[in-house]
Amino acid sequence: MPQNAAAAASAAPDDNREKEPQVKPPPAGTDQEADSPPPQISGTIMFGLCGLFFLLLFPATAWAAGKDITHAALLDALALTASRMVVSLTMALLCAFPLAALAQRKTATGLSLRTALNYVARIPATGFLPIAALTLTSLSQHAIHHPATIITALTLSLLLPLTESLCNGLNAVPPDLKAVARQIGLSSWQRFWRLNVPCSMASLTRSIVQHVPMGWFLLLWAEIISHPESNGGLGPFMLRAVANMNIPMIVFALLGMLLMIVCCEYLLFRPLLFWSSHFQPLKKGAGHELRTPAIFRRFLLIQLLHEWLSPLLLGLANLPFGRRPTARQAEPNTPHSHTLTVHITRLLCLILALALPIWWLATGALNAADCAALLTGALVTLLRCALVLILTTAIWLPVATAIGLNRSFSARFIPAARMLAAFPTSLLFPLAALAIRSQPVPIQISISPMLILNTQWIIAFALIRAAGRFPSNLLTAARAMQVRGWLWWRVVMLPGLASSATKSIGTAFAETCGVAIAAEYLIDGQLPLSAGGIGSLIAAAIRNGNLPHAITGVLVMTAFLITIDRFLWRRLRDWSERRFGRTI
Amino acid sequence: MIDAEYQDSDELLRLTNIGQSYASGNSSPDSLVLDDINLTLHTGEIVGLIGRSGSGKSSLMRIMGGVLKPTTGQVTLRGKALTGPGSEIGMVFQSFALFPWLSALENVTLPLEARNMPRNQREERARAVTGLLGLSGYDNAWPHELSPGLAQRVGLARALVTQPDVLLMDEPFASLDVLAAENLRTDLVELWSERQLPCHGVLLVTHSIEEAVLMCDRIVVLSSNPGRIEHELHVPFTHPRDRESAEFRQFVDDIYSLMTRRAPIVSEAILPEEHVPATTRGTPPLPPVAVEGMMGLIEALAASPLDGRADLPLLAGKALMELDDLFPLAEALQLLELAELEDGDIILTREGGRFANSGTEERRAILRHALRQGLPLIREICSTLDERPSHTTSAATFREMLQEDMSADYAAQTLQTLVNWARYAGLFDYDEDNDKLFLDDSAL
Repeated sequence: MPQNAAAAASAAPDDNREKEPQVKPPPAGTDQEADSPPPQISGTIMFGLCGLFFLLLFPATAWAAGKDITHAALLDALALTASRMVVSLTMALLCAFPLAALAQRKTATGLSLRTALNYVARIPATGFLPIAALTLTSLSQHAIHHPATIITALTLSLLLPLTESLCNGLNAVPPDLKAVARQIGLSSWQRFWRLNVPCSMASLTRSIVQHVPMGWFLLLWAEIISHPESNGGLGPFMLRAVANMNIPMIVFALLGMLLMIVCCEYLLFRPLLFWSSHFQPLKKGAGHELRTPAIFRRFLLIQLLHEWLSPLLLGLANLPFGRRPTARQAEPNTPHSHTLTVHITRLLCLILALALPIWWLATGALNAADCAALLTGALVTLLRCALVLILTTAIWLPVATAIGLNRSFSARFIPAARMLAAFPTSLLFPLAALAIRSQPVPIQISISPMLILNTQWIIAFALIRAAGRFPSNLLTAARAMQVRGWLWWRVVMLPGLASSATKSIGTAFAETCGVAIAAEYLIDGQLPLSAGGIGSLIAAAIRNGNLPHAITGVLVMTAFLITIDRFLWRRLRDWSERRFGRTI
Repeated sequence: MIDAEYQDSDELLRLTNIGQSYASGNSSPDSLVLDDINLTLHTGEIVGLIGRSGSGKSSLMRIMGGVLKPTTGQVTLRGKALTGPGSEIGMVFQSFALFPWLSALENVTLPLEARNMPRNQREERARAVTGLLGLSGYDNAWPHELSPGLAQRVGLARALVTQPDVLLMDEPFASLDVLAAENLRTDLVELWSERQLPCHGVLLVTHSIEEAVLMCDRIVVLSSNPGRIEHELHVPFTHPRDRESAEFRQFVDDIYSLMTRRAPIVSEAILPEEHVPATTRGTPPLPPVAVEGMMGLIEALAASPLDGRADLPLLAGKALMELDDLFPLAEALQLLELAELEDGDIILTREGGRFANSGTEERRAILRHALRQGLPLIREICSTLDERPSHTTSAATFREMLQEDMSADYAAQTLQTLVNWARYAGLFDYDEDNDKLFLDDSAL
């Protein structure tokens, strides 16, 4: 959830950087098709990957968890947490390709998969923990406390945005290149790997940069909430250090995490962004906004990818799978909307989402009072998030505008702030719990900063970028006409920021609700602190291993988020885009 | 490089009764893009296709390239039906369409790689072609490092590397600056004359009449909406051609005349009577023609050296405009009966002359009258607005009306153009937020 912000700042300079939650249907055109491997191949690959995933899960979870609070135990915990991230990211990446290839097909399967993915993508990242537990209950009775669950949840939460960005990239393939690829006789398999995948590489790497910080947040929180005694990792280490008030170790743990973030940034993200800028079709120099020191550029990834991986991938991409192109009938100007397929998929999603709670109601695992509590809790949380966001926007608006208009300062500010934004605040929550206990303000109010600590950066970076992009000739004109004060804000700056602001506030709202699951229920080794709201209900249910409660809570929250997005954010976005989004 | 065995069989590519239409999706009739195209390309000739936007040139190109299957008709290559793309045909695009993540040489070798040719073999073949086109030093350059002229040479090399029978070029010089385009044209013609180009026939799509006359042996003129073959001309000059010679100028002039015959292109664009609803009849797809442009043209025509009559090629040269920019303006004036097109000339009408000599308010009145007179759709919109008590109406209705004889994009564009004209004339206004047309108060 939160650290969209980190990437929002990394930012290739195009406008669609804000999280665009829709997996868009392929555009209609004269001669376009979803160039992808045949469904059998995609399906087989998908199946094989799932097998591989479970094979990998076991070594990754068999890691013995240390119980001490020593430097060695800290290193061990760091390594364990990092390895969980590596396994999850790798699996998510590998699964995203076949999934995107399937979703991109223009058949009914592709369409219903896209529709379903659009809904699943709305589930807050933290909500994937109980869902992963449900899918793994067959493996273990107490799946929710098993380390495999954490990895599965992380994989799922990364898989969806990566698939989404791949799909969006696949849609942006220039029609002329498609025509060339067909005309020179590349087969469907070759077209997928040599044209479609490279075209979406830039959007995929941006999505990785954007969502890995969110992954850290989820990972550390999941380690703390699920079963810290047996699971190990940096989260439980922090919890132990806080419980024992071992200040040096707390500091070391925070520094360790910071080091990990910085390493990620310099050894992985920046080289990746630099490398993927080669794939930006028809755009020069995109993605170069963050300077990458030459040593990192040459050193790790580029060298590795070019000299070792490239021939291997090229060989794979050139395999003679798939059909050679033939002349195809033109597609209709306006595509058939397949409304029936969409409706059936929606209905199925609804039935699936309702089936579990109804089953639990019937078997007594859930009762009407629980449901009522969840609904009122959801209202409380939504209201809380909305208030906090309004306040944050009001504070950041003048600050971000000032920073954005001062280009030399913002160039120095953004890279530093990126590190701050990428830091998973869930690691700070045990400390926050300590602080909240020691002061008189009621917890319902004092947790508010926790909600916004990460998500504020989404808004901040969006506003800074929008202010930085504001046409300087308009500013000059305003100065020449001596437009000042409130008039300046009303006529000059606010309309200029409106389109970015509405987009980023919408994204930040969904993310903040996800953070609420972690922030409304704080754990520091003593009795958990609960701030009320649906977040605390879900988190408490997860901690107690009460899957029916947790999953119903996540479903309720997702339903609210989808509704609010549909009726508020989307309309607001469309309106501000139409009214203020024009470039001159 | 031409194979001896094909010397006698003259025919390369043959199009028989090609028609192409795009389904509109809903109940309205399919929009016809190409209608009954019959065309043969013979060995050893360069054929030019001249047409304007809306003549279906791109669709025709893709059909000939084996990428798009025509709705009706048949394509044969050396007598065999063409069912898909193959190494026998090479295509060059206006946008170059180079893969941005592949180096120049990798772009050129890609068609061979797709056919699993071993690496050294394909690089050898690619180097032969890049050498021919003067690209030898650029093997490792990224496409974004190349100037447009060089990028198009890479595109050309990629099309030629398979030693195709037919080279299809879709406005290959349109994205280049004047000098680079001239340079590439000259090189191409030279290589072709010396029989060094590894292909047997060339088809060139262009909107520049001069370019077609300069390069081609035969010129095919397409009409627009739908694309039909209007004329076929043999170019009687040998290479190298002198574009300043009187015969050359006369030939270019003749083609201009053909394209501006009094039987206007507009009338051919209209679908058979029964398909056309009475309300939109006579509203062709309108490009974004600005009122200032029309006024500028009228003023230029009315001013002294021209005195109301001008030769179109001359005018285009003088105003540094391409055919594609000048024609829409001229046609808009014709539609509003402010000017007439005849034998390659544009002549100001009496009303047009009056327009040139009037002040702003009078001009608005003339345009108001001309719009109501020339465009039944405008009349329809105005009367709808008058009838409604609220004096507003949904713009979508009229867009849908237009969509019955043109694509959705053209319909939106056409209505936008009409709104802009109507705004100048003070007929009605448009509210973008609610997508509504409304009566301008000042006009009441």
